[in-house]
Amino acid sequence: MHLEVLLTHQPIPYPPRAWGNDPGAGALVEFYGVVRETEESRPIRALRYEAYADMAVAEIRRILGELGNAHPCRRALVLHRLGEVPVGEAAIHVRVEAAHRAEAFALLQGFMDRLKRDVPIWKVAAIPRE
Amino acid sequence: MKILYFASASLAAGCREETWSAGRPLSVREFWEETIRRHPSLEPQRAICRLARNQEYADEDAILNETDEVAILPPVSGG
Repeated sequence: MHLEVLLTHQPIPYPPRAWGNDPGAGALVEFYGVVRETEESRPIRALRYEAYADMAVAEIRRILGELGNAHPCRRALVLHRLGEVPVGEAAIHVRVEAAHRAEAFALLQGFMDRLKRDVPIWKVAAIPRE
Repeated sequence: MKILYFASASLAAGCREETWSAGRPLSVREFWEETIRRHPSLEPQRAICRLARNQEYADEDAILNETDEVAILPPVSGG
C-alpha cells in the first residue's frame, strides 16, 4: 500500500488536491475531521494542536501498515494540521483508495479509532470566542 | 538521556525538553522517580502518561539507556 503522511501548519486544502487516477481502484473514501464551534460546551474560535512529530508520523505509518494487512488497500493519505485550527476548518484529512469499498471503509474507520488512541498528537488549547 | 515533555506534561514540568544523566541504565520506575524528584508537579502525570523510548512506546519493563530519547506522553487527543 502506498502511504503519504504529512503533518502541516498550513490549512488543509478543500477540495483536495488531485491524486492521480488509479485504474485498479473502485473505491475512494475521504474523511475530514473538522473543528466544531464548541469544546466541552463552551464556544470557541479555534483549537490548537501539538505533536511529537517524528513519532506521530512513524505511528501513523505503523498503524496503516497493520490495518492494511487486515484490509488491503491501494493507497492512503493522512494529513494532520498542527498549530491553531479555526472553527469550520479541518484538523485532519484521511483518504483511502482500494479495489472495493469494504476494505476502504474498514481501513479508514480503524485508522481513526487507532489515531485517537495511540498517535502522539494533542489538542492543547481551546481558544475561546470572545 | 534526552527527555521530551508534551501537552499537560510540559505544562507541569515547565519545560519541553531537558537532558540529564543517571550514569547508568534506568528502569521505568527509576526514571519516573528521578523525573518527579526534579519536577514534583509531574507526580499526578505518572498515572496517566505513557513513555516512549526512541519514538516507540515503552512498556513497564523497558530499560532506558543513557543515549535514549525518552518522551513523556499524556493521553493523546489528535484528529
